[in-house]
Amino acid sequence: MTQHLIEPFTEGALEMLVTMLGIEGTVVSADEVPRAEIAASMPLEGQPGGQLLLGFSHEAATRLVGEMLGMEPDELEEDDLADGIGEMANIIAGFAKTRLSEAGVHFNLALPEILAGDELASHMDGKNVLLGKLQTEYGDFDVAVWFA
Amino acid sequence: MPMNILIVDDSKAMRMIVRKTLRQAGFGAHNFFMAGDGLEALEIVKTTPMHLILSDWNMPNMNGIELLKALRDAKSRVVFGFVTTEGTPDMRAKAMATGAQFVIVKPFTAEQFEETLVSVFKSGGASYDPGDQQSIVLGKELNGVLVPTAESVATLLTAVLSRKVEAVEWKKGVDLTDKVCVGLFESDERGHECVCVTDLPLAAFTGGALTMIHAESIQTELKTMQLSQALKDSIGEMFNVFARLFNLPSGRRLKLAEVAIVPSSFSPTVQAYLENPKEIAQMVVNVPGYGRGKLSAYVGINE
Repeated sequence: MTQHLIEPFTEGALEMLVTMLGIEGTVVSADEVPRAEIAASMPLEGQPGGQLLLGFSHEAATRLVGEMLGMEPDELEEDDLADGIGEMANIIAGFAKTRLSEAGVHFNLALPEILAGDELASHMDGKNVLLGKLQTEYGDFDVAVWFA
Repeated sequence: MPMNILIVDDSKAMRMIVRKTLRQAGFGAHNFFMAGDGLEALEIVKTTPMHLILSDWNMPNMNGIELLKALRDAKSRVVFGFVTTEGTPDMRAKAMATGAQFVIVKPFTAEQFEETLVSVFKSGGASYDPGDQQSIVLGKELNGVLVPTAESVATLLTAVLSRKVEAVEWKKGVDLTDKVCVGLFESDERGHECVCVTDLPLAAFTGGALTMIHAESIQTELKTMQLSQALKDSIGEMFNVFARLFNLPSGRRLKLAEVAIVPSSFSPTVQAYLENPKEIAQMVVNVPGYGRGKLSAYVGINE
């Protein structure tokens, strides 16, 4: 598995930030398994199957989702937060699906799942995970992808 | 009069985003209804007539395409569009074949919503009609040549491309500093009379649809800017078709005198039309299954 497979996901994240939140982001490389307080998982079903994981601090998730939904952070309920980061995973995976299908890598999206931060590491345990970090004015988040 | 707009998505966040985006796109004065899946949507539609349904594709219980099929089976003519993560040509083709008017792919902008919905509702309230036989619509006459209108372009392209092409007049024309294709049209009697410019995507989408080049191939060629000879030939053929936009049924026949695909500069004759036309028609054109782009027509030169 090569590093280029993560690029469609980080590009999707940048595109999502611009179009859905109206902000620019920066991709920086990351080499440590991210520590998150809340995470979204999107199963990538196919041959090879895999998983997209987005890891956020609670504050970054709140600010980013608030901006995406047009709501103040203190108006957001936990359900909104979970729904919001799940939708981010959905959009990023959808973008990457189109890009990667052009390169001969095919997968289908399932429904996103929300994980507590401490569950993130177990989802990546033993996998050859590709990592990237998105830096934004509302806080950073981690993008992790693995394929079987 | 306010419309009833139903947003169908299993994600509450996305329902809110779609509503926010509709407001940003100038549709904030309408009545919004929300449903979490296709079954909920059908229940709402039973009691409240809708003018527009915007639906996700993947949802539990009843997904978007099942909802659309149920509506069309029940003879509903409500305007229906998908707002979905996946925008592959196959899915777009399936959506259109089942009776959707448009597909908006996430992530999206308010401008995309505005362009799409203005196009759909250009005549003050479109509704789906599977048996819709478009009558011939001509442009408006100017000194023996027709100035294309959105309706005349949509009519011609729908007939030629065998798909329901939509066009809407738009305040911003083709950006001439961008990658464009340009055709100069002339008649035997009077020489050159008008110019048609499209952005490169629209030239590729219409040409591709005309000669049945797969939409995915076109997207790849546009992305890499490695245009195949087949696509260039298709664009040339399409500009031959565009000549018909300017022809009065009983008048002179205009034909394509020259066509240029992404030229580095315009010929002096074309440049003269671009700088000093008597009439300009500008529009956004959507070719279902391929995508949308802009077309501008420049007719007559002030002497």
